[in-house]
Amino acid sequence: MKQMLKLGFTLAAFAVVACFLLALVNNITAPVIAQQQIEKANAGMKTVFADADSFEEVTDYKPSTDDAITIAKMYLAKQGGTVVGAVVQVSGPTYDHATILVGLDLKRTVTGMQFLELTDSPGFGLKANDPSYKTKGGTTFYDQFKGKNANDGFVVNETFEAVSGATITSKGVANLLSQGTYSAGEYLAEKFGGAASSGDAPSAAEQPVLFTFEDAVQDICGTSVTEDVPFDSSYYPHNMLIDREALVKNADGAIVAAAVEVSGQTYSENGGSVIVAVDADRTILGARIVRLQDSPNLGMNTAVPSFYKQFTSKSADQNLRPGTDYDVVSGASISSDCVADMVKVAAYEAAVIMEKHGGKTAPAGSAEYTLNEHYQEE
Amino acid sequence: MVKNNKLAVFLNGLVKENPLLVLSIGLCSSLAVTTSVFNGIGMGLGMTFVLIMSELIISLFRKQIPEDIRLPIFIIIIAAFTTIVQLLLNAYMPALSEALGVFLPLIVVNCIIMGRVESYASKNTVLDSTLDAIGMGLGYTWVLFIISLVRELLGSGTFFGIRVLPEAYTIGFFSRAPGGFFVFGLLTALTVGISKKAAGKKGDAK
Repeated sequence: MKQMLKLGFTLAAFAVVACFLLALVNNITAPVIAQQQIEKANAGMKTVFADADSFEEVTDYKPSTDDAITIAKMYLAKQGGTVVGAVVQVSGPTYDHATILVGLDLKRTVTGMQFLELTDSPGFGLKANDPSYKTKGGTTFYDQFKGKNANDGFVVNETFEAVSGATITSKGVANLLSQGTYSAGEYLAEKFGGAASSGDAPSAAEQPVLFTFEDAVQDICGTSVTEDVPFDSSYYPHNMLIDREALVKNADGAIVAAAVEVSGQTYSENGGSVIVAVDADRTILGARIVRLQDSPNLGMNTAVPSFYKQFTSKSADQNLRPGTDYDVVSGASISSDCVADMVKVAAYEAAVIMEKHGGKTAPAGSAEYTLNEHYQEE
Repeated sequence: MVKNNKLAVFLNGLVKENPLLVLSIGLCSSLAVTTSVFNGIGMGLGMTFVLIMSELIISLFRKQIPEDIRLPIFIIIIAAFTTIVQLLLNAYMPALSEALGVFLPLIVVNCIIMGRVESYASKNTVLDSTLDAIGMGLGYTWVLFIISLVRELLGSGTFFGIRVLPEAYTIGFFSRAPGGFFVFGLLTALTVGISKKAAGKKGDAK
């Protein structure tokens, strides 16, 4: 027993002395280490705001107007105690994902931009953060933003140069910059007399919308009264599958349009389905996407309103060609053309139904339409 | 050779019983951090400091430390000095502490320290233990220096971060783990070869 106590006390004595020693050293080094950490964080921010000598974190800033983009942190950049600008940390989607640090002065001029994180394809999107990749202006991709005024906007190949072969990434970065500089600029304008914004808050990137048959009819025609029309299920116009054909009626029971849903191939092998409504004048009232499987941020963007609304008011008898009749979604021209082909087939079939129900007769040659057809089965 | 010659105690760790090349202990940290001379020397000196202080304190109290609980006490002492080194490096040499990373706290369990403390400091006088620690520490440091010199020069083409060889002529292999083993193996072979030759000559002279 006595031996055990002795061992315990000896061990305790050594531990106490060691603790005391450590506490002493820690007391001396703790402030130095804390100072060093602040300087390290500041050094990162100094690369995007060289003129500032200290930074203060703030939290009461405006959040991003785009759900996909987060403004993670904002710091006021100070020079000798006066606020000279702000530094914001913004994360959001590019081709994959990026986190950037961007500095903005009181005139809304970008003082610098730096990637904290960028996940992308080597040789393409990653060139955005490659110090050896030079734009035509002779700077790196990220350095070219220095000196740009946020009020001029960040528009690919207008106010800045995209990384060649990585337009999507470049656009994604531009969205992060727009959100970050807008929030920082507004904060500075409100509290520290910074320059006002010349425009509205940056709009959120459009999200793809998928409709059901009924929702699509309601959205296009303003009525959801439909009467299904029997159709020949062994009929595959241009290798597309007709899913549903219906007459659309208004509240009085009068036929206002015919709606047809077709499925076809797209960029992805699972394909997609679109629904098109055509009125008695053989004019497309609207096209909506019902089903689509494609790459997020790319092919899926053929399901955003600004894409599918391009087909509204086009004639059911005209061919739909990229560039002349609609603008393709950038980075997804094949997906865009495939959706357009489905729209064309559905529109023609809908026009055929309308013709049987008092619609205009088809102009000559209307049935011999051609598609863009990226996937032609032999 | 006079037994217990102070110089011999000191020189022992440098070559004859070099912890890395001859005793082959404490290898993992030495191979991991030797990608640059700066890291190699930093690790060597940090380790030497902990070794000297631990051996000194332990030999000082060797009569007070009960046999039954000597290992926990050794660990407390070694850990305390390791933490001190860690705090000091963090405060005054942040670049080095970042480069050494997890290998800095792992000095605690470095076999060289445990081994020397157990087999030498706990049985010898303060002066002998200190000399042994300095010898072992420097023996560890110079090997680290040579390995990192070769690896940095061939792997990155630099010396203390200053470019010596053009980047096109560097061999990436040396910056990675296999390069560490390779250089270490060559050094060990060289040391063993030389000491065998020396032993052979001595034998002839007799």
